[in-house]
Amino acid sequence: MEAGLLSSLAIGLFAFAISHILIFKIIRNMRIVLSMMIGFFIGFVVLCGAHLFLLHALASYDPLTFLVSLAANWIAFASAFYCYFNYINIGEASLRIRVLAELNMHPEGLPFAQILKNYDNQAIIEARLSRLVSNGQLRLAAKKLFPGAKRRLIYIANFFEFLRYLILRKRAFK
Amino acid sequence: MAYFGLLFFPFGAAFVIHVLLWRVRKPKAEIKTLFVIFMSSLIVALGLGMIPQIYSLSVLSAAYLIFFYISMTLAYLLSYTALQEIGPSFLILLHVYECGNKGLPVDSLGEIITNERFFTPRLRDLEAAGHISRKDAGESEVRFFITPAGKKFLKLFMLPRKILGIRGQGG
Repeated sequence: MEAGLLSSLAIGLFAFAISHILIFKIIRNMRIVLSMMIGFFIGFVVLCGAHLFLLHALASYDPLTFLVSLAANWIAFASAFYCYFNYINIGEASLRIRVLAELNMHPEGLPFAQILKNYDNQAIIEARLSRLVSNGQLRLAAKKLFPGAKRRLIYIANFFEFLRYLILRKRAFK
Repeated sequence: MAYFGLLFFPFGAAFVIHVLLWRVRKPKAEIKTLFVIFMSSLIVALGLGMIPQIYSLSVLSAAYLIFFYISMTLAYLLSYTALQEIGPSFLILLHVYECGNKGLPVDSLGEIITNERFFTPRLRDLEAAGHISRKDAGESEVRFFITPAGKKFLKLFMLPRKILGIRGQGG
């Protein structure tokens, strides 16, 4: 059974990696996050198909074993995707990485004021705000911000606030 | 089914130990301690899997267990770092939703997203990790430089950009 588990997971992850890279390279102006999401969906479908074939069609396990093994593969696949997603996201959006990249382009070094000018709070606000508004998470009207039509990020933010309180007994907000 | 117990139990046990320990006293080196707790749990699980009365792990089942466990642990460690310090986007969202239909004036964001909360600590972290260094350039000017360790660290995160052919800076 373990061979089937490992193989279906490897096939799913391979399908994710290939589809994500191909979609991003072939489709012009494709956002990297979107290509990862599409890749995730394709990888997930392939994983389920491979799992069904290897653990049901070739070697018929009882339904409970089949379902638990499928759940284990979903968790492993989703965890690996989450790690990759964060790895890419850190390279794209992390302030630390951006400062390092800036300093890397200036071997003569940069004064504090210059770094601050490029990455100060106003720069952070502008970058984040334009993304949140263009993604529909927030709505801008009369120089005021309102909840947007899409709610995905606020659910994640609230979930992290809940976890923060559960584990660290503190809230980042309030 | 014993194998699935062996898959799920060590992570659950490590998580419970971590939460209980944090309730008593949060360690200073949080990530290092978490890593030790979770890896110890994996070693115990592998050890238990070698006892024939419990389960006889084959090389393949041990490989799957290790992959399953490490991917879950890394995912949790990544989430944990997000718990330690909230990102600017989440903070903006939480404030806007708090104001609801009244709306949050854009001008007030400068009081929420401050340099003291988001920029200075990150620069300090980079310096503490040895990724950047500062030198006195005279006339009371301090310049920051990237160190060889910083260059290696940067390369690690620039690798996907090279593979995918991404140009320009992310947002």
